Amino acid sequence: MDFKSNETIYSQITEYLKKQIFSGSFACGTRLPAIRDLAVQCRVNPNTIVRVYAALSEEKLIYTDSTNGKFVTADAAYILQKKREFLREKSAAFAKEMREAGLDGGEVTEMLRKVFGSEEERR
Amino acid sequence: MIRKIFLTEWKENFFVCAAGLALCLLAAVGISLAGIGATDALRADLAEYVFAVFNAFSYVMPVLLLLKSIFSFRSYYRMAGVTEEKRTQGVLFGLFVWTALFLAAQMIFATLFDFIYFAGAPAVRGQTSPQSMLLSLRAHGVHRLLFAPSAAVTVCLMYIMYDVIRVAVVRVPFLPLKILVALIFLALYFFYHYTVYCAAGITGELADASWLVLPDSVLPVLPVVPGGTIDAVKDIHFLAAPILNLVFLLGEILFCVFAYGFVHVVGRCKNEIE
Amino acid sequence: MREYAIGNIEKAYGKKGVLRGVSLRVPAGSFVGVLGLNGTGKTTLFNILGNMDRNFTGEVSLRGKEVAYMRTKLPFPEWRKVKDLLSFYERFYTFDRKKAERMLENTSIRPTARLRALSAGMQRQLNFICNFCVDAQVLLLDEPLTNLDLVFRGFIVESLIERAMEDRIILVATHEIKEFENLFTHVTVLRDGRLGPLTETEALRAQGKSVEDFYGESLL
Repeated sequence: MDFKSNETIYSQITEYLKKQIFSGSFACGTRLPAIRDLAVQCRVNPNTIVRVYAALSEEKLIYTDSTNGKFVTADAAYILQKKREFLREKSAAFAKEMREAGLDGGEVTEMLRKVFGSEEERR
Repeated sequence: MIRKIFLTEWKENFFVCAAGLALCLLAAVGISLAGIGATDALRADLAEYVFAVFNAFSYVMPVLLLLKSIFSFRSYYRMAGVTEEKRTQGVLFGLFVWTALFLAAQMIFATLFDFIYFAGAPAVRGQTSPQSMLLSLRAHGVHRLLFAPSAAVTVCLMYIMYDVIRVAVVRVPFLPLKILVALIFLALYFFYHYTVYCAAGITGELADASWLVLPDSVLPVLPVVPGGTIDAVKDIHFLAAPILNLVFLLGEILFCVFAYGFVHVVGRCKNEIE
Repeated sequence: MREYAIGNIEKAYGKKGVLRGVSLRVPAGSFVGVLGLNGTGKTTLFNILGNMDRNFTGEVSLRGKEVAYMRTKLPFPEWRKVKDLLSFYERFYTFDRKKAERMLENTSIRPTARLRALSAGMQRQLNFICNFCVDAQVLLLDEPLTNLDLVFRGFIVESLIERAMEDRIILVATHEIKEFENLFTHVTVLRDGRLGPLTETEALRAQGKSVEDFYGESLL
């Protein structure tokens, strides 16, 4: 994984894992990699992974079982809810940026339709 | 810790000593072979050459071991956290053991040579100079084995002196001054030891003791004569020390106490590990 | 597990003061990058922390066999064999010899080889493996990645990640910030004979600064 050097690694990995969970790549009940394995994979300090897992646990997206393994929550509805929150947050931030550049809602949605559309065509 | 240092260095020390012994044996065999079928006089001369080689090595090897103790590359002990004190003790112990072992082995080989070479030829042996047979136990009795630890003691004392000088010189800033301090200490050392040796010698003569520990003389103040020996010849070896002479022992113990105190007061380094 | 406290280390060569009061308190479990230009005294400092240099003033809370020190070059004579080295470490430290032998199996270093028969890269590999298998509270690494190919660099980074899972302390003196950037929990810059404050790397990034930025700024 490539990391941006001026954003906390912790937040970058947390976001990455959230996306994996939301997209279903890490489906409900999937076992997450061990702290050591993920640290080696990402080439980061394992203490960072510890923080990431702690944060995801607190958000109830993952849980720890008796063997100390980390699993994605089985609550699909909850994930959906969190996914919507994610969309809402990102959209709000995106909208703010576009507004600052003087672009209005209409131009933006039109462009988004084109971008998503061309992606659909490519598939 | 001393044991650990000994174990770390034993192979190289063994190799050096073994090489020395091998050379001695090579000379013995080579020279002996050259004398096959020769006259008695020539054979006696050849025997003297062999003994001369042995005697030479009895000087060379202890000095070599001493130089090796001083100049060996040992920074890895420091890395491992060994205190300088322990390191010095470990080196000293190894120096003593290997010097004594080498000389003892040499004496055994010299004795074997003495028996084998002269087997059935007492006339030849009669023509061989007794002085050359310094290391033969056949000539001087088993007690001569004491020469091994006595020479070991001598080189150890030299190493202790080197240690004192090293500690004294470290604190001195300029090189010419360092050399001066070293020379002063060396001069004091020789003066002190000469005095001790003289005192030991004088008391020794009074009690018929000798420089080199011989079976029929030597011993502290009261001459105790152990049974039957062959020669009354007193040999000289510059590395021998009259270690059974009380005056000598006292003098050297005092020296060691001084060295220990000096090193501890001045200190080997500013910030030693506890 | 204990913290590592370095207090006011001073070291001068003649009149030239190389280290002028180096102090640091490293919490247990930290992975610290000691940064600084060449010749500023990183190696001098590490030699002091790593038991090699005992002529300095100041205090160091952990010394002796509590510290494993990977220097730029193995401090053993060239004629020594690899297995003798392992025996040495076993004798003088708390050393996991089995683990070291296992790690060596993955390299092309044979236990019966003499050091002089090993290339510079292989010597470094051996150096790392030996110090890594020592059970010491502090691990000091002075430029550990020079002369190493990509494969072994990766191996070192992975090994250090495992070590970072324990509560021990790792100090790395290096220029190669890129490789270690994401492993450092803290960094500090040695400049003018003093160490800058111990700075948390994630705190830097939270401010939008990279470790390289921080390093660059510290040198100005």
